[in-house]
Amino acid sequence: MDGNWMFVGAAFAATWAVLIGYVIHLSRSMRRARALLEQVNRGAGVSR
Amino acid sequence: MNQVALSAPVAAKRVDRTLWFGWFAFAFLIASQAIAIAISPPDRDMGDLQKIMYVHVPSAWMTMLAPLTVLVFALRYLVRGREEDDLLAAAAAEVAVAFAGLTLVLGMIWARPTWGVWWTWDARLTSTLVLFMILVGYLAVRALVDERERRARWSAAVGVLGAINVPIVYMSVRWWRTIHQIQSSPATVDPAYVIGLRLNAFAFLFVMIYCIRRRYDAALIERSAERASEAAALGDASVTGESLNGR
Amino acid sequence: MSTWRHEWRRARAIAWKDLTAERRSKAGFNAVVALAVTILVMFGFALGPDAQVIRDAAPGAIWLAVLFAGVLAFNRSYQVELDGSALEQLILYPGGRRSIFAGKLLANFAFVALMLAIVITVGIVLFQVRLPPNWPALLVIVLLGAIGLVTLGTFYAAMASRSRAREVLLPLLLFPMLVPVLLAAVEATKALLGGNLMGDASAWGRLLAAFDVVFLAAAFLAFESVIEV
Repeated sequence: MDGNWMFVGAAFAATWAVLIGYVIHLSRSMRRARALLEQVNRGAGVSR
Repeated sequence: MNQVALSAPVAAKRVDRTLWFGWFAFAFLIASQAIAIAISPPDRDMGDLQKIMYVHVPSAWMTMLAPLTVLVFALRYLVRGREEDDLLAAAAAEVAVAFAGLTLVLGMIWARPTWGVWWTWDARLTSTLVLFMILVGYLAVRALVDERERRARWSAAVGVLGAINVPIVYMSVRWWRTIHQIQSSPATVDPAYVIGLRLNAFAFLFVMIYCIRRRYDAALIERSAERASEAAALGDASVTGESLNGR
Repeated sequence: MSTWRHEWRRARAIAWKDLTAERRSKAGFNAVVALAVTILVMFGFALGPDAQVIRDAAPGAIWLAVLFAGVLAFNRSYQVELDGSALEQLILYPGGRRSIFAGKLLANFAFVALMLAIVITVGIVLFQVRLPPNWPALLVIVLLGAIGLVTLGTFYAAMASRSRAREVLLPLLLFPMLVPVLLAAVEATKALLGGNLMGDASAWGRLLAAFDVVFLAAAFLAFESVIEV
């Protein structure tokens, strides 16, 4: 039954990979949104 | 169209609270997983495989909850027409795709040692796959339609119909399998594992709420910037994008 | 009640307009049917030549061929409206949008029904299908399946045909939604072709009819939000 630990490990690894991955995606979205806001406040206008 | 209001101090506070909640959610998750693994004995039949349940089941539950959120806010948008509902639905859909994908992967990781195959066409796995496809379609609509109101209305329609379809798909696939006399996979949880499962379920819920909230916040900021830019283009200098003291 | 009659008349008018535009471009219908038959033949190559295997695969292959070719038909049904003025006027009437949807549904249904007739005939020949004695029941199943396909196809094409990647977006949106209809139609067809030993066909048939009702209702309700000029 030792081989099963590989699957358990893979499951937890996959879970954290997805969660961390999404958190990174979140911070990138935030950063992009804030950069947009900065641009606008500096008067540069927003190009979409 | 209705404005998305975002006054600087209130918004900054809310983003702060969101971040704190995020830290809490992840800490809670780590603790829940540690506790669950520590206190659970190996199962009679499944052995240590049982531990996969602590990520697979909560993930599956979130995969049902997130589209429900999309459904609710899409309906609200169709009824009331407020931008916030559309942005919240979109945020929930993005998070839902992540959880659906995760549930599929975990389902496959579970299936391989249990039944010897990477995939079974059983009702739950299959309807998760169809849900994943429906959500991808929703995100495709958002990506391919540039005009804001049209994008909101169309994705709301797609979201509502898609959400309605999921239980229908589940039912159809279930019947499909029984017609061909394939046994369904029973899912009973031994009482010994309930505590660990509940802890992890709540942990996943907190994490999901954080993700949706954070994604929504980013969307609000983007929207705020767009509005300010449009107002500036129209020559209304009094409207500026409110900055959220760069965190 | 007279508003219903007005709506019905408008719907018929729209359907007729769509169909005659179709007939004038006969190339359209012929091309789509040719595609469906081609797909069917490719299925034959991919799954054959064992007679029993392709006989078993026939219901699935036929429905899929119609599905794939239908995508083209649904998108094109909205391109008929390049003169937007007629549509703009129609939208102003109460229930105008519903009439538009109903009209397009009728036109698309006629199109798909005809296509199905041809594709099924070809399929029976190519896939060596043996027709059972109760084959008229097959007609019912085919019609019910067509209704489901056309309802959802017409609905999603209203959006896809006006977006940037229409050939990709329509299948992406439509196919997951068609899973229940596809399953029911194929299973009912299989059951009937296999002699319907366990009465599965009527069960799936009733399920298919229920799906049609649900999707028709949902599509009509949601069409308001989706039709654009």
